Amino acid sequence: MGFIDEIKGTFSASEIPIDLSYRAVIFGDDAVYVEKVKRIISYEPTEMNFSLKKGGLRIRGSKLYVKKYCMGDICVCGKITAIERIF
Amino acid sequence: MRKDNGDRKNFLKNKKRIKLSAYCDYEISGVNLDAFINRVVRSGITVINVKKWSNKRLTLSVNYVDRKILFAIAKELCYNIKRIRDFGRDTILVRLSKRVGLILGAIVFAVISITFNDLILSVDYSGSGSTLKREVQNYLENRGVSVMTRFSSLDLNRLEDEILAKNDGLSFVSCKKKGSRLIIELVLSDKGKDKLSGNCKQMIAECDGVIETLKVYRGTALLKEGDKISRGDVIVDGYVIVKEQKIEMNVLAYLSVLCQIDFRYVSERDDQEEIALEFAKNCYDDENVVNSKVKKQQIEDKFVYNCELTVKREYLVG
Repeated sequence: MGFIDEIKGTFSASEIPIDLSYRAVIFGDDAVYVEKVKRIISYEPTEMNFSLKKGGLRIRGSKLYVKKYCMGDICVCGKITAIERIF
Repeated sequence: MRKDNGDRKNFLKNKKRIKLSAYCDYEISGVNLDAFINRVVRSGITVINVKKWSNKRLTLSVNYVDRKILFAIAKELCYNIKRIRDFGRDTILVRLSKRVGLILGAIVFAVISITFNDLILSVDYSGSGSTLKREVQNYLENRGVSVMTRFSSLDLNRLEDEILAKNDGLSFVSCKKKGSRLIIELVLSDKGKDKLSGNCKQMIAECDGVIETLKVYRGTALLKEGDKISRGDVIVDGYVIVKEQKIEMNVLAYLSVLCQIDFRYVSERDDQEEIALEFAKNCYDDENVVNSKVKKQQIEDKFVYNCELTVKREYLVG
């Protein structure tokens, strides 16, 4: 059983809504790794918008660039100030 | 991580291609570059270092094996694409694979260099003993040392000793390998009859005989090989005629003469030819005897053996 499944088992979905439409790993304020990205909606050095299975994700910061993007996984580097969920 | 169907297909597609650690940087220009990136990634290409410089210009890197697909997509979607540089650990391999002719040429060159480095392509003579070049050349030919002989089959130190031993006129011999050339340095001997003063005006016969070899390096030969000479005859004179003008110069020449020496042996016994001949040869021990014959004559109760020795004498004057 994976860590996420363990958490899901521990807490029922009604108590804590766990959104599994994406997963993001944040490395300080230097990089963020996001899984299950459907496509890039917009890409600017200050703001990036991704489309997920459900909704989207916005990353704000400065000097942002895509370090690696393949098969639904994306790694964004730069000075990251905010990550927002878009519904 | 769970992949959706499209991602799985791309994953399998990527697995089939052998990925090299070689990447190419490209500059893409056009409108709606975000759509371009999505399209590239949907094709199963991993994009690296995507940097947007303006709304209409971005740079990205792709693996070397994906470059053709990227170009095809860019062409299909009417984007301008420009290759900037190659980088990565395997870039050298990639570059070499593009230059098969160059690699083959380098290999052929290396093989030819190694092969020909061991072959004698020319033999050069230097030093004051170069006047004896022909003698040394003949000796080397007899020994089997000539152009296209392998250096590895020669012991140069031994060759030096042998040349020195065979030529009395030389005091020093050095054989060196320089690239594919055999450099033989010869120094003339300063002692004995071959001492060269440098101001000899004529070559004069010192004994009676027949000229076997005459080699004139400076001066004019007055006689030729096979001519009979007597003591005091001028063989080579110190001049040359150039355009009807007589120019005086010092003589430098090599002469070998076959001289006949008569030796008489008297004995009371018969059949003493061999002893007589041996006796005669012992008397001329330091001479190079090339031929000999004995004639027996009986005078009263004694036997007279007349030995005729043909001796080869060599002279180098100059």
